Amino acid sequence: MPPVSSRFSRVAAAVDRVSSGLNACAEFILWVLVALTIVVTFVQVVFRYGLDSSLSWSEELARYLFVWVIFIGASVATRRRKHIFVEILVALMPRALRASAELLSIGASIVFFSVFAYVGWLLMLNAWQQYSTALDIRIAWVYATAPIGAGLSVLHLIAGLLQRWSGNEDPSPPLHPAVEGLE
Amino acid sequence: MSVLGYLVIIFLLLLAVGVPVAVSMAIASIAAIAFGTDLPMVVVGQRMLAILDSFPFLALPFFVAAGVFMDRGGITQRLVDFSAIFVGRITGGLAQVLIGTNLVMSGISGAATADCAATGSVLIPALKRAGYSAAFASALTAAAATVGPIIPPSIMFVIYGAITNVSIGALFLGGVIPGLLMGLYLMIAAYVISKRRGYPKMVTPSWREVIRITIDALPALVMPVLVLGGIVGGVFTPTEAGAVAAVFCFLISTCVYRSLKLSEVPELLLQTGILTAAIMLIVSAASLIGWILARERVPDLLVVSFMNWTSSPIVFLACINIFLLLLGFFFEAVSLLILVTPVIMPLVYNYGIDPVHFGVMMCLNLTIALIHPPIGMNMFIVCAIGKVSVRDYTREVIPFLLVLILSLICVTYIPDLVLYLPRLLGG
Repeated sequence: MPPVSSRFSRVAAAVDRVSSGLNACAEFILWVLVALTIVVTFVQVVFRYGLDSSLSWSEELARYLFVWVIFIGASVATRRRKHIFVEILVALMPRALRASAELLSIGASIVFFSVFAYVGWLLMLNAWQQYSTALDIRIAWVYATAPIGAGLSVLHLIAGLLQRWSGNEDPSPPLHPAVEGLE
Repeated sequence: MSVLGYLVIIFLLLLAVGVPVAVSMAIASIAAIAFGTDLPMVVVGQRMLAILDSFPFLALPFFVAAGVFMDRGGITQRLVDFSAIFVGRITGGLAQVLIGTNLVMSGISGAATADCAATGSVLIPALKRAGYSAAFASALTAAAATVGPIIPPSIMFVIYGAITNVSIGALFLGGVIPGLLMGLYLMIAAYVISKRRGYPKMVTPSWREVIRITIDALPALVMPVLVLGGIVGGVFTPTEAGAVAAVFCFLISTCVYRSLKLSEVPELLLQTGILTAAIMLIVSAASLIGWILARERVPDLLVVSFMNWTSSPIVFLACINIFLLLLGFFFEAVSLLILVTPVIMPLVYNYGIDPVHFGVMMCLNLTIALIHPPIGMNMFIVCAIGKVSVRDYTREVIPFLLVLILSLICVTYIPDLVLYLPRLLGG
């Protein structure tokens, strides 16, 4: 039997693979969704002026796709650490304190996304019998993105936490995402 | 402890230790609802989802996408050449070109930081080669990019308009003159500094060159006209204008300029989606806080106490400006805009200030924090590109900071700078 620490690090690596695999799917869905919202709204203009017949469903569809963009995008932002935060005090902290601040930040995010996944799930169930006006689809399918996106975020956060504890990963994140993106 | 006590203390505490802004807001709200009221937790979901189902906010990803397509699409160099025709022969020609490029580029893209990275990566090395100091080049690049959020289209105006139900078209028109004014002031400052240090003029291009450059830049120059003209003429809504702009920029960059490869497009759309999500999650959580504050009658209390203290809109605007400039030292501009706007709007209406005027003024104010320490995002971008220290950068940015504050004062106290165009064209 291998020592506990290495077993733990294997489990952590496995969870991270699931998180990274699902995130790859989410990233693919995200860019397709963004492209679709642009195309749908553009087609709406083309139909109104080019073909002189207004579409009844395009605006509603664009709005619903947008809600999906937000929560799928939020999960990707969690995995890639692209959420906006106030970095000034963290940057001034000594290293040891910074590590605890990061733990607190991950913990708070897990709490929020868990609560949000739960209430999103409840809202989805509540809305099961409601249908949208133009497209006549269940509103629940729009709300479904909230538990899915928030659930994915929780998974990514836990995977990151396990990786950190098992020592698989450098725990100090980049301080300035925009600057890092340039190099 | 009261509802407000939980809300404020937990929010600030989480924010300070680097918890994401949206999460800090949401957790504070959840705690306030759980411990301070007997409301069911489902209201959290209802409030946070309600604001997201919005057509005006859709303009946000569209203008972001238009901007990233343009920045990757080789437009910057063409705008640099085009600006050089007009301002290259002034003393410190290339510095003037940098400002001119930003003025045109702002008419295409909606985001300040993207513009800053795009112009910086082309022009900071060019300025250094032409004999300008690296710190001056970096400081000017950061400062010039602040016209981006003021000259339409602008992501900040979309957010402000969508939160307050103020016409986004009117805000776009209102930003034109203040944006040009900022450009003019920056040009004067750059001229004075260049004169004193003996920075060079540029070589005059031949007529044949001028024609070639103009034709080359033409597709990019059509964009602002298309967006503003379409909105003002009632051809499409600002959101639809965003989609048209995104498609247009995509076509120009891939088919006309051919510098954007199709294989790069998914990554750009992905970045658009991530940025949109990060901003909209804050919008969503802020609407929850705003709802709790309204339930506790905070905006009403604010109005009563402020109106008792002073009845002068001049004093009120001065206080708000100083307050926002100070907050800019700690908070990033878009989060600040989203958080402060709903709380402040009742005051704005009570003092009889036009919400379009106020919106442009507030966005101008918030963009100033992009260029100064400690957290200015433009500052970090240009310091990385120009390889200069924040200390050297800061010394060079002070004159530009001062002229931007001068433009803020002008825009604050001469409302017609903002309101003339919307009134004239009925945006």
